[in-house]
Amino acid sequence: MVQSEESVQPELIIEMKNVHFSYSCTSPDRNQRPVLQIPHWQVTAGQQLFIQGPSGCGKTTLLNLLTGMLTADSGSISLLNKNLSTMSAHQRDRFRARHIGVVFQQFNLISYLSVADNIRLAAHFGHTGEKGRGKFLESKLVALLDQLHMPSSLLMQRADSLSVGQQQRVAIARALINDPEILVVDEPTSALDGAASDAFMTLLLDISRSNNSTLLFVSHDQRLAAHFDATICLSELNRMATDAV
Amino acid sequence: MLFKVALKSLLNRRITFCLTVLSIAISIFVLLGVEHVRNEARESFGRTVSGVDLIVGARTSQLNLLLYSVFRIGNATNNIAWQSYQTLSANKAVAWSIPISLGDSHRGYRVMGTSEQYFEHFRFGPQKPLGFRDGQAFKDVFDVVLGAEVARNLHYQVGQQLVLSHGLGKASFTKHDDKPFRVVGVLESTGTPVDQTLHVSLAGIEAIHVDWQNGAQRPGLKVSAEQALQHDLTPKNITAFMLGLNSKMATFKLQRQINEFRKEPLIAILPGVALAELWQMMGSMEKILLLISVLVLLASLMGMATMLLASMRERYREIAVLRAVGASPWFIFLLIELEAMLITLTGLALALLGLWLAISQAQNYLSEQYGLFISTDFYSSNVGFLLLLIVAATLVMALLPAFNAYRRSVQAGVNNS
Repeated sequence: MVQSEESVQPELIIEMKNVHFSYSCTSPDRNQRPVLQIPHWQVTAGQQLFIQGPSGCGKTTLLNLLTGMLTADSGSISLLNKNLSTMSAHQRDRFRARHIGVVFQQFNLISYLSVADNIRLAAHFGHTGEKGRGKFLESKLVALLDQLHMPSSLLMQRADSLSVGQQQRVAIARALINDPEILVVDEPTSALDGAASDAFMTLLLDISRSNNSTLLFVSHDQRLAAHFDATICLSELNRMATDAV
Repeated sequence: MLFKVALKSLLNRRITFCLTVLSIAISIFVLLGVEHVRNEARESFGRTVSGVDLIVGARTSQLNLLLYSVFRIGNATNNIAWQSYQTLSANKAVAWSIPISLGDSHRGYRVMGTSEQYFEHFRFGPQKPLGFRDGQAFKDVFDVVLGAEVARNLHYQVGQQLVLSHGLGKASFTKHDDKPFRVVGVLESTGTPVDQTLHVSLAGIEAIHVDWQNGAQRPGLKVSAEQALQHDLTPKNITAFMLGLNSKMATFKLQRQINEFRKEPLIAILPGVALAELWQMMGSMEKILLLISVLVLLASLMGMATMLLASMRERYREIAVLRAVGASPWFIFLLIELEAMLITLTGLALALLGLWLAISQAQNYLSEQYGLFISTDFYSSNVGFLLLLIVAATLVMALLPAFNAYRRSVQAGVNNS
């Protein structure tokens, strides 16, 4: 309700200003990742954004900064008008759990837990109170799976007994269980074949729209850009990328 | 949720989990077993005799006298003349005396000849007197009073008859079957060697040996039970005796008098001192055993830490997923610690169960062979302390894999490929 009223004036959901980041010498991965420097970048609420860039240009670093797993050396990153850099590590973890849904390329689920437990885990960290527990949560699980065209009988199965395509769809359900404002998706179709990939994209875009989530989709695959409102090339965004590679 | 994830993660690695639990269970079993048997043995030794001021026997080592007179282990080197016993027990300082005559047995249980004084003055544990569960003390020559365990294991009841064997073997060939004894009483259980003893009067011991000489039956000279009663049944020898004194102050003086007794070489010991000496002898051994079992436990805890550490590599993806859904690095840290804890606690439960089974199986054997009474009640304070120590050691040992996971979860970020 609140969101639809505010959408008259597009709300800023992500804002980066003068962000500078480089891996410290102690990091084991420092040689593989370039330095990131973004003078200014913003995303408005409800956008479905395709972030394109070849591998090694800082995509993963950008995602780590956006999700609060890494902190910028300087500059500010604000999500939902809250400055991540002023939060404690614990606050950032809670913020991520509550407001950001993440879908990886693959291995999104904890293999030895059931599908339901994998999703419940996200609800547990989301601390959404009533909505994250009991009957309310269980009916939401079934509803989400239904939206993603999966039978609720899958809920009790071990995550690693599902096909890769099913696992990716469960990952979307897991990412959306706390109704996050932001959905971050990193190359989710790289493990899927062409037809499955197209079906997955359609599903992802529909469900993120119906959940009013802002979608950040990161991929090197230019062909997928057609699905999105807007495309941004990370190498344009990141002034350091060209120097570093 | 933390618990659920930890449990499922362990069950997912069933084989390593089971092996680790087993190795921990075995080492805890050894540690608790050693500690418990140590405590129980000390306890059991300490409670075997109390209220007796001096034990007197033919000259031998202090320990030997203690072992055969109290624990019914080993044999006397020599006997004491009845006359010497009469002289010494008439001493002014002596309040009461209990004569002991050993050397016969019944189906592996030792027979002790003594007097009614025994039931009156002998004390065990915290000054507890002997009580009768059934019947009463012996009155006639061929009466026998059974220890609780003898009655229980051989299913004897008051009124039944039994035959004593000469010597101490379980399958003695020379039986006093011409002079059967009648059970007149069964003692209450004491948890001491008294339970495994058959008590008869000194006259009874004398009567079954009337027609014996030099440890063998005289050929051609058989004396029936009725005829034996006609003989003078005052014993000529006894094996040892216990003394209670009027005043503790006189103990050392009397001890010296006995040790310097002219008519034959005797030794008087203070049971408390001898018990302590006996315990000290076993003390260094038990400490080494304890040390070894602590080291064994340490080794298996290290094995557990290695197992968790080795599993970290395949779990980096799992950590990334947990971080992505909002788990803090501390959650990851606690997850590993909890897994270690679950392994140890499962091992601990197995070990306690195993120990309980083992002790209840070995109880009879230990008490019959070694006079050790080990109860299955191992919740003594010391064992409680050990349990805490095991838990603490587990947490410390799991720090290594837990910190590894923690560091990984701080550095790696949302990247699981």
